[in-house]
Amino acid sequence: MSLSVDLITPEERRSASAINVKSLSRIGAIILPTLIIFAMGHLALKGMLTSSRLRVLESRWESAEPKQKQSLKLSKRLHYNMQTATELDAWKTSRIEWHQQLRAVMETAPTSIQATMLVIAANRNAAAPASPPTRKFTLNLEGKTSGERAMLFVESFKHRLETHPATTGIVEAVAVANYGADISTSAGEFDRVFRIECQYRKRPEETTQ
Amino acid sequence: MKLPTDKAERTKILMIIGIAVIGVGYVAYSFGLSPLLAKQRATSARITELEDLLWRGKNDINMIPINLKQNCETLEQILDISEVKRQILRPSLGNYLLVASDIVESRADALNLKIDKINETIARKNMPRTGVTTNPNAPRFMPYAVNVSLACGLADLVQLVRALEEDNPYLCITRLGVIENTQTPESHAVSFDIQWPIWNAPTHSIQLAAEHLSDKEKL
Repeated sequence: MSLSVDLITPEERRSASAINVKSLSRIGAIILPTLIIFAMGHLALKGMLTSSRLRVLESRWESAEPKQKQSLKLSKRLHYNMQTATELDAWKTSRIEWHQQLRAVMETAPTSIQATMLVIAANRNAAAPASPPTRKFTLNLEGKTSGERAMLFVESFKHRLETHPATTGIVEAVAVANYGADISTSAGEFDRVFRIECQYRKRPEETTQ
Repeated sequence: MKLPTDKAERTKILMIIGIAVIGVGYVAYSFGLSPLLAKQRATSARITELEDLLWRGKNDINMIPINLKQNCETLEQILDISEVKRQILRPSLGNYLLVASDIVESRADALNLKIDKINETIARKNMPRTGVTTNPNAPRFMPYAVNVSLACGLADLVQLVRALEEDNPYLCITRLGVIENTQTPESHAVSFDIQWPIWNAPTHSIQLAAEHLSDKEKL
């Protein structure tokens, strides 16, 4: 049997450990305010540095802004003028050099054929013109021929016209749109009338627009 | 100051101190630290924004000489076509027909061809306005067309059309009709429309010339 006698009252008891509530509170009472003061100081210093950097940047921007505005204005003017040049260029690229096409017709027409009418027309309505223009032309050639091989003459003319270097690449289709007997009073048994239609590609080409 | 020896009293005092510390902390955070941090966040955001603006601004400013040179070249190209070569039809005393007739007749004279008639094909109401539009999508040009009638052979017509087309790459023959004349097999009735681009606003070219002069001084 063991007997323990405790002569110290609870109020007089002290902890044997180096770390206790009292010592922690004392340390905390010193460290915490110090940390808070340092943190506040750090924040204030950082704030001052940031404000100073902001002032420097604001003043730099103040001097750069008018120049930048001038540059943007110039860039806008350049864009506008380049659009004007592009629009003007479309006037050039949308046309067909008809002297070359007419010469091609003259060069390819067989002597056995007599042209009676040639009409070139753009599909665009001239009353409501657009700029830049997009043009699509049609060339219609009416003529007469004679003989048992009349159809052959017309077909040969059509073939020579569509393979001529001046029409290659710009003509979409060449077709004999009309072929038949000549019904005029002076016409003979083998007299024939015909119409050849040349459809030109739309200009400027879709890819160049 | 010593804490009371009574445990309950001491706990109460410690609780009051704790609540007071929390209260002071809350007030310090709400009215001191939080606005300070918010201000710093706003300042940092403005700094980032300014740095971005300055970076873009620097790039834009660096482009000034390049854009100025390119604008000058573009203007020179347009003004050369419009003012030097006069390939964009310009009116004489407000009259386009006079100029167009002069062009066609001079080419026909050189080929010994006689023009029968030259008429305007576009009504006067479609003629250009006087002001330069600021709308970048509005067309800068509009067509002006005349109809030419004459009697000639196909070979002569080819020569006339060639002279007109080679002289001005912007004009376009938009309609052409050749009908045989049974009385004169060598000469046909010919009618064709020629279209030129004209400035939508006649003062546009003057404005471009002024702009070109001003840009050239800056280069």
